[in-house]
Amino acid sequence: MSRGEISSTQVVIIVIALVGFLILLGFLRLAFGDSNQLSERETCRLSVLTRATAPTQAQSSIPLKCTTSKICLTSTGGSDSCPEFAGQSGVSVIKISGDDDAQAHAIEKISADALYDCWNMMGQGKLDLFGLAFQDFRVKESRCVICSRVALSENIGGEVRSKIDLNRYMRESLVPGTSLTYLETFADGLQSQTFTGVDQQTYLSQVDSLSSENKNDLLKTPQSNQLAFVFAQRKSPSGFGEGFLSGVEDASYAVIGTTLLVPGAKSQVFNPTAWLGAAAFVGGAGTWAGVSSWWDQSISAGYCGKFSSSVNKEEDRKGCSLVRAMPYSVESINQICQNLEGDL
Amino acid sequence: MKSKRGALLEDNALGIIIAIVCIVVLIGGFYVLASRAFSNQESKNARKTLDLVSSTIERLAEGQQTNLTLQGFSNAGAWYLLAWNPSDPDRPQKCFFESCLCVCKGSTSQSCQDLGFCTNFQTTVFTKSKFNYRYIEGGTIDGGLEYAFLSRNCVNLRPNLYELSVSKQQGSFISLDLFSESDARSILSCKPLGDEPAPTIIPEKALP
Repeated sequence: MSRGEISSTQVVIIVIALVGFLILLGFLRLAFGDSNQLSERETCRLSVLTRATAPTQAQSSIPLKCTTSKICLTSTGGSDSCPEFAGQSGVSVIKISGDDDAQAHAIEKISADALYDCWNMMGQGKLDLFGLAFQDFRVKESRCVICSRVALSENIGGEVRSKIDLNRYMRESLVPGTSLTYLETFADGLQSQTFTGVDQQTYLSQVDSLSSENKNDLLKTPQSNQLAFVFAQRKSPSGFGEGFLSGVEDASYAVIGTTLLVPGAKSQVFNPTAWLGAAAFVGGAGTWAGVSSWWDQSISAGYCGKFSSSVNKEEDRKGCSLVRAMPYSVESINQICQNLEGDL
Repeated sequence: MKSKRGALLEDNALGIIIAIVCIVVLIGGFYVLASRAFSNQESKNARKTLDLVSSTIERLAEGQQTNLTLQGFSNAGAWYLLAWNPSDPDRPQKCFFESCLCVCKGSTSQSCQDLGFCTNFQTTVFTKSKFNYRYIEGGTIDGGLEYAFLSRNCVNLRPNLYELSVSKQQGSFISLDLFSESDARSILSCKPLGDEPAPTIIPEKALP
């Protein structure tokens, strides 16, 4: 072989290198570029995985490309049915039809799917999304993604709203494509209908222990006809327990504390004896008053323990995640979210 | 006579060059894509915030007021809503002929010019934030007052959920108002508003 001639081995190496390079570039483009060809859910899931598997110091440079879905449920189908989304782009208007039962069922399904999608997109709470790089002045604040906002238009009547029972729906209905109900899925596949929850009495006693000012804040009736499906994560060196509560304001203590502080809890859906979740959709009809905060903790799933993380120190891998449906209001969401991430 | 090492280097020269070029391009590409995506997301979210505020203003009739719930985003604290009017001597060039409402990365005219998005308005626009002095200075306000307010001509975007009061007053003034009891230091770079006298603060350590 003369000088300067390329051997067949070199040609193969160059081709493999170029192909590998192109694949890598394609992956980077998907992760960071304007990946319009992917659905919003897939884009979000990919960015979650990218961030979770990145070295901890690089995590904060990797954006979570999760766009808040805006869903307007209406019985007439008009594009301006939900004033909550006025002036905002990307609103999905879903017309729900049929009799009252059918409409209530449709609302239950959309809500359950929103909760499940949120939990699933965010790695079922087991991925370390906000590693040490997000620590600010050694305070590990909670960080959240609002996966979706669901508003009911005024034309969905009180009869329909009173029939919504999300608890029953999640207990009885299967997640599409699986043989598990929504509740079983959230409970990590346990074949059981019984879920450890916090009874209403425990919750109310926690509320009673708060100062009157914090209690009033907590029990304030949310002025919102709209639900947000929120994913929240907070890391603490002592794992789930006192570390989670340290530095959290009293109001958050009650909500987060009673929602998640269940001994031995690994992954839970709270199934209170007096289910008031269905009342959530009866916004403005009066049934929220006095029970709004209890309802707050009703529709939620949580995971506490070690995250899959690139952080080496074991203590720094512990924390809690939860997904919950709550009124889209400053009072409610800021109780658990100190920082929001994702696209508006 | 060539050494063994030299011959080895010569044989693999092409492969080495390709490898180095690939590594450099890869690192550069990763950096460019990552930084662009990150700043893109931040700018896009800031822009969406401005669009939402602007469309809310447009929908309001004269004399109306509404509370607008806004969603925060990553690094929102670096962004400010600022209003500029033709009477402002230091307004940015892009707001030279008309009043405009801008969302800017920074609270100065220059930052609005360089790193801001603006929407023009035919009417005079104001932005205002109100904070409690005690959250900035600490200690106690002289005279035993619980609250004494400080107003500045900007609205600092928040990292979580927050409410903005938007009003369109008679005579076509548009005003944005944010009251907050925390994170007050971020607005100190903005211009003072009104003639509220600054209270005397008794520092914590001076208390008996």
